[in-house]
Amino acid sequence: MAPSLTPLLILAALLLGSAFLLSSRLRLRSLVGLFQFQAFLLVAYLAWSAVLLREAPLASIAVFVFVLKGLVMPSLLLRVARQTGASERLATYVRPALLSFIAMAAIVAAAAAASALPFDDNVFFITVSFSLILIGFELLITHKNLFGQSVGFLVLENGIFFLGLVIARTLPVLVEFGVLFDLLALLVLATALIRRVQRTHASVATDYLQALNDL
Amino acid sequence: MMITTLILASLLAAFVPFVSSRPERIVRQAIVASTIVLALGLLAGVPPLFGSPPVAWAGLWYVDAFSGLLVVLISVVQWTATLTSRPFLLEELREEVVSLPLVRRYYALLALFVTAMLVTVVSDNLGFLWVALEATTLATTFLVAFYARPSSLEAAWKYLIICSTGLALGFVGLVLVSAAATHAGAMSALTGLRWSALHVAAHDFSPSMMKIAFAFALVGFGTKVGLVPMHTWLPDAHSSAPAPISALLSGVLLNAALFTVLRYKALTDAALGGGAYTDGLLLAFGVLTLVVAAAFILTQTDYKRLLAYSSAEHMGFVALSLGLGPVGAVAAVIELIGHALAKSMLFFGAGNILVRFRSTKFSRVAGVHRVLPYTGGLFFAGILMLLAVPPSPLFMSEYLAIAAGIRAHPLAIMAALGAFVVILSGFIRLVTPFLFAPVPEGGAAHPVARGESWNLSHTAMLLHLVLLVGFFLLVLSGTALPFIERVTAIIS
Repeated sequence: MAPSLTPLLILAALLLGSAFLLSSRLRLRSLVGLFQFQAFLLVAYLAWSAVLLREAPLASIAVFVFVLKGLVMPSLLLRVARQTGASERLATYVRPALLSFIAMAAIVAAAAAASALPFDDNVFFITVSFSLILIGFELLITHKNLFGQSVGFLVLENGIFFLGLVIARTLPVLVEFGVLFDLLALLVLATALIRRVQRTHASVATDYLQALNDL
Repeated sequence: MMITTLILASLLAAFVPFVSSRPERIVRQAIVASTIVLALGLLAGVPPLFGSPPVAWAGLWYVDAFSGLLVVLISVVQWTATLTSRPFLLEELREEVVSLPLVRRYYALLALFVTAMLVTVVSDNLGFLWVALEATTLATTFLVAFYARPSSLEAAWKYLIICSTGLALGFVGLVLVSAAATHAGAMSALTGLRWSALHVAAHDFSPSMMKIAFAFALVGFGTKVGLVPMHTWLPDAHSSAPAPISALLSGVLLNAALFTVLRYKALTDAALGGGAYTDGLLLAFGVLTLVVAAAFILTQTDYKRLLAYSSAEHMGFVALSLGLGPVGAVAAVIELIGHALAKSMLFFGAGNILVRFRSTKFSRVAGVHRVLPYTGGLFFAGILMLLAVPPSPLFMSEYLAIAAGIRAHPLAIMAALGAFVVILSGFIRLVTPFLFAPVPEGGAAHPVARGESWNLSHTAMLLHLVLLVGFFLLVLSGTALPFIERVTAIIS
């Protein structure tokens, strides 16, 4: 019996749901936990796609994503938060209710953009990936602390990774590995900077990073 | 093979600082390693400029005249930056601003940065090109945060997050190109993401998909070029890094990022059967960048930030020129070369000024010409070059672009001319007292000693000046035109 497409649709819907929930999480542990859940969904999506398309390289990428995004990155973020004594509560520029509203608007905008693209078969999947990208942006812009911004970037990258899976499955495996390795290096650098900022200002709030301004 | 040797030599240079434990020896060995990279870079980059066919190797490297030009520029500026680092770092070591481990880290990251830039401009595979461009960000983040001051940390954070977000959007462009190639049946195990192969097949790609791909590539990689409104990281990062690193960031990294945009432009133009769409976008971003940068130049209070905004302005001008067709592309090539040499020369001088005055604020620095006669004189010459005063090659590029665009795009050219007037006024207002006013009594951050002896940074600045004037004469006499045309044929 041929493998069904339905699990992919369910996984994509769960990705969308996780992104929506992420937008209004204001506790670090909850935010990182949801990111980890999203990583596991991506791994499941990759694994099922590998079965469906009979592409072994996708399975190897799934293993790599599981290790990096599912295990290493969340634990790195939480360990740095623990070591620096960063506050569990994450401040934002807008209220949580408004964050959810913005996320909803982002999903609507993503659906509109996806339906305008010349990919009629994949509109739902592209809507999910664009939603992840836009909600990642939302986290980057609305969070007033470096941890929230870091997770925002990772969610945005998840969206781009998912877009790649949906519309360009043939991206060479070496490139995918290179991108994931770059992402890991970026997170290591970001956490090293977070440590330095915490040491310098006794806080990871972005309020302390607004001195360089020409306006 | 030469390219692979160059990349390996540049990578190995990152390990050289860990061989010795004495600062003087570390610095000397770094200069030797950098000289080897320069020699290999010239051997690899010059032949394609003078008519040799593009060099392709194992689907990894592809060096045409444009890549060759950037390899030469990167090799030259990394060498003069390494020369300039010697007096700069030894002085900072003496004053205990930096420590020996920091000096080691500086040279190691500098070599990794240069390697990443070289891989960016010689990569045939668009995926590896993306990875290498992201690696330039990763290698330089700690160079931007080198002094661990609060402002450096702020600059480094913005640099890391904004550039990485931009490059992530650029990756969407890559994904869309890959999808377009797959739809056209041009994506195979043989071609992969090889730009040279995609370029041949691009006329079959979906035009609508390639339009979106280029928009993402321009916004994404344009972030790294410093195009407005994605430029906000640039003045912070370029002004916070040590001066020789700022020289590389402004002089050649922006060119490497622009190279990426132009690789996507070539694919998109081939798919659309003409350059009207990409030219229009480049023109719009170019004018916006020029005008906004000009406004910030007029109101600057910090000389390193002034130079950084000037870099954004010049990149805006290059984008505008590229939007003006083949003659504009000639102007863009001349501008790229002239700006790389002039801006890095000025950052070398800014490093000397910062070491002596210990401030980057215009309000705390004056009379540079009297306090540092060599630096002041060369800095003044560099400013004239940057402001396109003949015999600056930038005079030629700006004249050509204006002549090329005045009929087809009068509004854009008028906006550019207006921006030039503002920039000229800003520079005259800020730089005249900075260089020639009497040394302030008590205005400086600390008592400023007068006089300086000739050192490697002056040699580097003088070399850049000679290269600038030499290039002007080569363009004027027509000798440089064949190689400029070869590059222009690739980018227009």
